[in-house]
Amino acid sequence: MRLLRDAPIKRKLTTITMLTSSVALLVACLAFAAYELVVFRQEMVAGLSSTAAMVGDNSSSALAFRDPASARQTLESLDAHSHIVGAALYDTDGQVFSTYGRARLTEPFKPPVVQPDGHRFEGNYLELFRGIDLAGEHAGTVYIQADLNELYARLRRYAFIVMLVMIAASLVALFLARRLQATISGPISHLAGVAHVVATQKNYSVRAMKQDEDELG
Amino acid sequence: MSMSKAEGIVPVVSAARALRARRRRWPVLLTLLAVLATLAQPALSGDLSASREHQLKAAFLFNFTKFIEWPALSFSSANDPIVIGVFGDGPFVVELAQVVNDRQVNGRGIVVKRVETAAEARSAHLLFVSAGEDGHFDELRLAIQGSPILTVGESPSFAQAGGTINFVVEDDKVRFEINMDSAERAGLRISAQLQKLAKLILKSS
Repeated sequence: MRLLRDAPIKRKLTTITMLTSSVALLVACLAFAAYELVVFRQEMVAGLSSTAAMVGDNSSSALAFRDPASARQTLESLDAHSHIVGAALYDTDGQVFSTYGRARLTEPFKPPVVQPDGHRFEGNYLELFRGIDLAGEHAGTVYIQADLNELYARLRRYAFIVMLVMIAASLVALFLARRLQATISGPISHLAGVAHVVATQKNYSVRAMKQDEDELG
Repeated sequence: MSMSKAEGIVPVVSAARALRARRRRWPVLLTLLAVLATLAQPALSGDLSASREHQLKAAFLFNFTKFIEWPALSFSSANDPIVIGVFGDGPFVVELAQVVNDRQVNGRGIVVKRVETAAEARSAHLLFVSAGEDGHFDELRLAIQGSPILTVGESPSFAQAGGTINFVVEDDKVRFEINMDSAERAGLRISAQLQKLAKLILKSS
């Protein structure tokens, strides 16, 4: 602010305009990005939940008739979902019945101890437990773990977009501020010039020209 | 189970005699018993599957009801129980009743009962024909033909002979075959989830 205090009015006005508009824009962009991310997280949970429901429906018979081969086949259909790291099926006693781990994992997928229905974001993962209902009876539990790569990709994309918008908007704002500040700084500069003539040449006959109807007019 | 018991009794009796004769033989006898127990292990696990097999079959019979859709007419009301009839094998009825207990399938209770006559068979939704009863069942088969009854057997070629589902024991696992034509004739819908587990699907077309 010290820097601004000694700057010419023209620059003061431009700086104030730019600063105000940039901050407002940044807040708006961040708010949108935050909202989008919250929505995206909810969508991720909903998507994973419906995938878990699908897996549960398709493996309920395998659990009921103790057919691990069929259960494995159902779990392997998760290959189509590249964000799913691993999955597991538990029987009614909570024992692991079948597991699935995505190919090219750095370490083999180990299913956690079975838990009640629910989801949580844990480190770089979203994990979800979902009970399997078969004809009104509990038939087992599905566990699915998904990575957050897409969430991070989105985050990076938002950062990039916010940056682009900020640059473009600032350029437009700068152009407008330069043009519009003249309506205020012009009359002031004019008055200052006249005052300067009066002060230095003691020439009281010079008159300032009335330009607008505002306080300076 | 019964075999391992018979095997077990002999060494115990001889051990008692040996004990009376010479108390110092204790460690030797214990080792002998341990060796016998180890030797009996493979026979035991092979034998175990008989009772395990019955347990599994009972659980499977109950689970079948979750994957079968009977025509609406076979129940008089929405919470009418599903009746599982067992043709032959009294002890299995008890075992099945234990599995079924107070459980419900889509809001329906399950009733297990022994079946001997055609009239009794017609009152069942699922009819289990235990091994060795096939001969008698053939007489019954005609009487229930066309009725919405899921027939489940456990003898070779039960499904080929017109039964709907047949248990097959393979590699210590209980699996099953499905005759889709039989299901269709009885007006039963068998879920795709159940069909995909079948070892064999019999279908004419």
